[in-house]
Amino acid sequence: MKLLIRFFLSCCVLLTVVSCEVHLEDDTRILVEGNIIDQNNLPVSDVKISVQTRRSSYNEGENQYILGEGYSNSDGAFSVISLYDGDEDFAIEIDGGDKYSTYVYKTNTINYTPTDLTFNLETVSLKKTATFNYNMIKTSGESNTLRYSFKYVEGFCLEYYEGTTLNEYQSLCYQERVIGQLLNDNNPDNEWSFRLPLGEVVEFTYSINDEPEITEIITINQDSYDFTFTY
Amino acid sequence: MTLRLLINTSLVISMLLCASVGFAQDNLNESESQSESSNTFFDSEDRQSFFAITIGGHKPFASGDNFMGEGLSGKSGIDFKVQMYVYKHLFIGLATGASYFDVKNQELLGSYRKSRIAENYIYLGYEFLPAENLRLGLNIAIDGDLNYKNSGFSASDIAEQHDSAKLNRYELYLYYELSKHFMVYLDYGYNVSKTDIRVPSELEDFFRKGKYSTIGIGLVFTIGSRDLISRFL
Repeated sequence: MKLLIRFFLSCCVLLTVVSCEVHLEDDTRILVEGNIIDQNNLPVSDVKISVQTRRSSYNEGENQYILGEGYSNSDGAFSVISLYDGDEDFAIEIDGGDKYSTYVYKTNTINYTPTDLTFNLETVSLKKTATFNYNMIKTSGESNTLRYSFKYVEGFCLEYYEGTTLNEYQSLCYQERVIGQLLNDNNPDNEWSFRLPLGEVVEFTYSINDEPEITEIITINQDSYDFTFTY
Repeated sequence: MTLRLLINTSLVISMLLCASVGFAQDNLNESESQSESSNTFFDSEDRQSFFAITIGGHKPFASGDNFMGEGLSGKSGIDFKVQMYVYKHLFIGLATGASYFDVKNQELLGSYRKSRIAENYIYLGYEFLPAENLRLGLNIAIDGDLNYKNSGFSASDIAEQHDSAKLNRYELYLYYELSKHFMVYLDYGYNVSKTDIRVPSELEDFFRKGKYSTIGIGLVFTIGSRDLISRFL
């Protein structure tokens, strides 16, 4: 009986390992093309385009596999030849790097393969982004606390398509995000940064020693915005 | 049965056949051959063989405005062939080998770094005798296939991806005889790969045909002193 159980478990482990492998379509190449502009309708060059499979819907992605890569030219146009995979998390990522927002086209290629094996994203608009660097420093005596949060619009847009139709419910485009923390004697300071579209506002809300909250609006008008707060 | 399996099976059978038949007939007919010997550019009974087995290596060179010429850079390759002389110096052969390439432009092919092309083909040709110790051969692949194993992905969970193609090959070789049954060779092969890759219509021309040449060297072992048909006449 023990032998039977071991055999069964071995088969399960083997099946798990085998199922984790990504099997790409043999004898197939796809073409991904489009055009990239910024919010002023100017072409954006040297932006990295990557064709991915098994991509999560998060900003940074998670465990995705790269099937093809290329860059936009001086006119903002791109044309990338890639391998192909039928997968429910097939994606094309346009990564604006430090200067521009990131756009992700996502679809389920198990049910949908485009006509003529061409994904034409047409015109993709990226937003110029800025980096917001914040530094929270404790300068007061012991036992003072600071509870704070930043609300901002993330420089990330994911559009989920079912065939050729945009599914807004599963899309996440320039969504509001809130990050915050409680600082005290054990954890008095904090330094961090995040990216957001240039020209957007950051809503900074804080409360010292659990007193009523105060909100400040910060307009991000430079590529790298440094913000220091002492309490 | 795939061509590759067919060729591999045939190679084993051919080797067994040539070892048994070739050696058995050799001793019986050596004296006959010597008495009727004649030497020309096209034929020499003294230098007749039954089988030639070649083993060697080659350097591939991708060329042209196609996915191979623009996307691949040749590294090395191996060859193994058995050819049987059917009548005089007219021969038919079976070949198996592989060519190894690095991907030099991933934007044109996909995100992988290496491509190994397995080559299996049947060929037909003729061998000329331009000098005492030289044999000049011309051959053409009459049926062949290629299997591209693409590997070297950024993630280990993608082991490989495959493309397939039909092979047209034209080859020229020169054998230098060190002894009656042992030679060294130098060859040049021109290969056209007609792929089965599904691509968007605007990429059809780029992917439909790939071209690469090979320059190879290696060793040749021959067995027997009479061609196939002469054995039955």
